[in-house]
Amino acid sequence: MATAKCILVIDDEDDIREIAQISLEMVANWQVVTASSGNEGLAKARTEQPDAILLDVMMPDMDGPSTFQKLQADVTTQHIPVLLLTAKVQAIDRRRFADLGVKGVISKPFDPLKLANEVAEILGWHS
Amino acid sequence: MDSRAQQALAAVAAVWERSKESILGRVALLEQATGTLLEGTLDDALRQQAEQEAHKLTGSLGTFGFGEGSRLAREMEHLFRAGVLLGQAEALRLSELGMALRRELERPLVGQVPPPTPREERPLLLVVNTDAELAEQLVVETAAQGIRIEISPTLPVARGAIARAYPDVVLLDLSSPAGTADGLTLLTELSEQTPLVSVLVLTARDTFTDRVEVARRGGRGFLHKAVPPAQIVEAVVQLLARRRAAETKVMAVDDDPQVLAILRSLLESQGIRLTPLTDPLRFWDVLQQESPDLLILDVDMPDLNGIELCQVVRSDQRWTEMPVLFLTAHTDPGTIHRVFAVGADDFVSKPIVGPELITRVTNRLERIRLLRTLAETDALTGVANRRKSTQVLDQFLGFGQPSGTTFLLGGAGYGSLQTGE
Repeated sequence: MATAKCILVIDDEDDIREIAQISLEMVANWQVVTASSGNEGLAKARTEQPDAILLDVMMPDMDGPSTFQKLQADVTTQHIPVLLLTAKVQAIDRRRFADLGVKGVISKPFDPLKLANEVAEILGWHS
Repeated sequence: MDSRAQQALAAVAAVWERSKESILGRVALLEQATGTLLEGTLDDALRQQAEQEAHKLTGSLGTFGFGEGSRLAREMEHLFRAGVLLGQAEALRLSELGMALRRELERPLVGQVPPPTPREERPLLLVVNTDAELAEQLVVETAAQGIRIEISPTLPVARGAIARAYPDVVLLDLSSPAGTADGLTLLTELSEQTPLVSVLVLTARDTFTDRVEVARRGGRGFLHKAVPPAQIVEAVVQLLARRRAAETKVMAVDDDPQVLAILRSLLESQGIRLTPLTDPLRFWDVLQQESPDLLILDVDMPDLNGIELCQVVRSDQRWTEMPVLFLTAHTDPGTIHRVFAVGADDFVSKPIVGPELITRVTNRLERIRLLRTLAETDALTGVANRRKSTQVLDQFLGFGQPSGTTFLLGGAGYGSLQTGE
């Protein structure tokens, strides 16, 4: 039996973290670790070595793109695929995200019943 | 809906009950900012805070099942972002949105994610102007043409409406009090937007310099303010028709509506229009009606499979060059061989990986555009050949017709031309 995926969700909003965890654990049977800030996310990425990271863009102190750059700069975390979570829909923002080198972008608001499917599709995780 | 999904929704509803108070607190802050704006005392710190809270609501309300709440919050975010441009019109609009938002959040959450709002098929015209009489006349004229219309009295209100409703055409009145400079800035922004928003400019000024400036910034039409409303709407109709003709069109046939919904979401984010079809028996009629630039076919379907559809397409002279891309969960050598044996250009495995699909589709479309350019360009001079030139001239003549514009065509003759050695 395949090992369940482990996802690290980094978002400063409590309810988003909670719903993402409910969604990925209950719908997809994945294991979920959460972090409420970029710095906490960096520490957990190193220790937990998740299969993927969902990273909010707008966070106080250190935003998503800055957190992503630090993940890329660390040899222990640079291999972990990162998906940005964002409510920004303007083309200029999307181009900026694509230029960063993330694996994909998931729009907020997301459907809790479809979040796991979206993640799997972007990362090519076949069931 | 299976039991895991039901349990997940019940858990989300429980999170809503715990989060409701803090979320309503955010709404209260938006109302406070709106109130001070109405009084003319909104400071920048509160405005920025309101913008941030509206952004957070945009990102979270739909996840709880309040999709309309997310849309309302998004428009409020755009309005608060306007900063020094916020005036009474924006304040009144924010007040309306705030009341609508509170009503939306007061409805009971029934523990079920509501179905997505059905896409409105009628095109949307957004009118940015303060002329109430003109607006009223346009409402009457557009109704007769089956076009939806929204009126925005100011540029910040228009920006909010564009973010919420994604209009197909914007009629931008540059002679409104907001001023020409800000209007031209909006014009530039819209010309860079995806999905595409076409802008018709309405102005009391009519110099060649004005026309050049509008064209440089991506304006698709230039009308003098004295033009009757019926002619304005006729220009909108023609612009919509030209847009449809110029859009990249993809037709996808798959008996799974969820696959088609994913394809629509992926392709329309790239400005590509998708015609989805679940019933392969209707394939031929829809193909002739839509004349797509590329076909995406599922392999396994009841009644007629994708292999058979591709064979039919390839046997007709009109469609022998049509790029065909297969979607399939089968990656065994036998299926791949069958797919290419009937003339497919490519295949993509299911489940669909967004970036891979977009790359495959856009590469094929780019190749078709290159081939068309070669077919429409004179090999010696590199300019449009006779067929293409005639087509473009017809478009320009149609462009000037609604406003009775005089069209001046200049010609230059060339002596014997020879290819260089």
